[in-house]
Amino acid sequence: MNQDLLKIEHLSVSFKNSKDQTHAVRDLSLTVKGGEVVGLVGESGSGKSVTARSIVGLLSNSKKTAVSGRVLFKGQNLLMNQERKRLNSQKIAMIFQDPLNSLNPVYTIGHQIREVFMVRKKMGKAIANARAIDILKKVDIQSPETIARQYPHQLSGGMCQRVMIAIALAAEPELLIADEPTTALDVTIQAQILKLLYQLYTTTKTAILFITHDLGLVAQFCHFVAIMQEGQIVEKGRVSDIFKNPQHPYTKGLINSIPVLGKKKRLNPMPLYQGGVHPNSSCSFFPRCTEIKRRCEKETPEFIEIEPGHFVRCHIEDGVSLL
Amino acid sequence: MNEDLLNVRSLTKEYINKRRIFSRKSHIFKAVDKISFSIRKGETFGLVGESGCGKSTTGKMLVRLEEPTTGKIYFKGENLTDLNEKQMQPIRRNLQMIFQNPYGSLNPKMTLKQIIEEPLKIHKLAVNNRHKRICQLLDYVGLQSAFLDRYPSEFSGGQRQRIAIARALSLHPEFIVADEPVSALDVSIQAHILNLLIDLQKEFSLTYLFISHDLSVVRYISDRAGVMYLGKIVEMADCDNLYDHPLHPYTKMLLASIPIPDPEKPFEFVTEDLPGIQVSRQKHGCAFYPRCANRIENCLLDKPELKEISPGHFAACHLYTT
Repeated sequence: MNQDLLKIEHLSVSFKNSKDQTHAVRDLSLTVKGGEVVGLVGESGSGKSVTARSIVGLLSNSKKTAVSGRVLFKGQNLLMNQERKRLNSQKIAMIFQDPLNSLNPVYTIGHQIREVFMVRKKMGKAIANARAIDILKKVDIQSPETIARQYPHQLSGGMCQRVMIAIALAAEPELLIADEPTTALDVTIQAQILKLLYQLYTTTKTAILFITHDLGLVAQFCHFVAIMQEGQIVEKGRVSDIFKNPQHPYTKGLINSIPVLGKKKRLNPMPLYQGGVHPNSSCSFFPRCTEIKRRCEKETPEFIEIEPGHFVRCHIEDGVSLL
Repeated sequence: MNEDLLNVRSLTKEYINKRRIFSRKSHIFKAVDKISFSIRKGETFGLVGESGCGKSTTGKMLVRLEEPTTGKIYFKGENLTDLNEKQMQPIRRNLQMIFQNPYGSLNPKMTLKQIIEEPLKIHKLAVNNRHKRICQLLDYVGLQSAFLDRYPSEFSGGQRQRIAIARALSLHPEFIVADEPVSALDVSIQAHILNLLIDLQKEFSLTYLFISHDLSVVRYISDRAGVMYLGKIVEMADCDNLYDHPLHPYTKMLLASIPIPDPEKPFEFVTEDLPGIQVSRQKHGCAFYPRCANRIENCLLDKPELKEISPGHFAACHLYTT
């Protein structure tokens, strides 16, 4: 079970436009082992969705997109071999943030689930249909026969997300990438979808890469967590370590920004990016950091292991504080 | 502090769906169903609920952006629903609104200066020192006056929400309806905007109606809060009471659904799989009946009314009346 299922090594993604280049993901390394739930957290624009898209090969193939590094799925590099990527994609499934827009509006729910069985497993239509209804039952949809005949617009957001999960599961993936699966939903529905994902995880032991901006979800759902900022992972480790002993100022800032029920302490968020000078040589968090050390301006921090399995990209241990 | 600034009495909003071709009856949809509450001067009243429960409609009715079907809104003793558009205008100065989507609530073709100047122009305020007033407003919300000639598209989401707040403040209002002002923002920006709203409240003794679906945010900013379910307030109390001793099963369910950012508290999944909010529009009895974990026989027959269970703590549930 503890085999490396997905291993991202030094992944960099950049987009070119007429003026300049945007480095969406910079030198990202992350491992997801079999049967693990790994959280990828960051604010909007930090590159978490681009990371997910590059794993499943959803980034556009144009010359404006430059991808480097390796994404190894069971030892095979998904970025290199197009044919391999297609084969492996059967083992990787993805669910998206906006369930209504990720379903095809002109086909019935039944059709869209059936398709997976017919294309992937080469089943006949009748058998595929029966399997589709089975899998709808599995994601706790009542009266699956009726739902299978309906179109996406006839369902609520929570129902659509269940259908998305059903489609993802139909291929019996070994890795499920969930890109903000509950962000568009109400809290009560979010709890139901999480419960469903949790049940799936415990019964099938599918590894999950859980992308979210909500640290609360990570705390209760994931084993490992990686915090992304400006396309880089700035801290990663076991969830309990990160929450008990956050090291990077960005992680601390994120944790201090969440209002917690029962505590009426004033929130103490990190400063916002004011558009100041951002020297290339410095740490990417330098303009917003509250704990600037002398080295931060001149040297890019290395990713160091401060306790077993807990990595931080920050000059925390040495240097004199400037503030 | 204990004076009521705003008093809402059985406010109702009905939308009429147009008759379908062959149907005889037109369908009436009650978005807000006879709700009553009051907001004291200087406090923040939170309104929570799932999407579609009528909380935004309520907020819009309070500033008369939506016309209530029936019911009364007393603002400083004056009934707003009796006033016509002309009589309403001087009062509008005191009632401002901040919207959820800072990308949609600012005119993309107006510069920052024009956006903030517009309310001053309409109400003929600060005629002589308008520029100074605008710079002062920007200063309150933490924006630089160098931005004055920029367009909304040049600002980030958090900055735009600050512009919307500056615009709402420009007329020295007493009451601001904040309709999900932080739900479109990142957590760190959200925390800044929440702190800004709290600071401004202290400085200008503002009264807020804070509408949100996020219970932790409401707890952080509000003094008292009401929980809405399908157009009705089902529970209302001061925040400490509401969150520490929730009475209504719906409030309990909402609270149980929030993920707590502490890995040592395992997630307690809502035990029963209850249907979503759409399922439970029914005519008789309690609207929450189909999703309720503690339902009793009486719930299906009788509609529970909002009653004071303990001092200052109101709930609409049969579990506490019998």
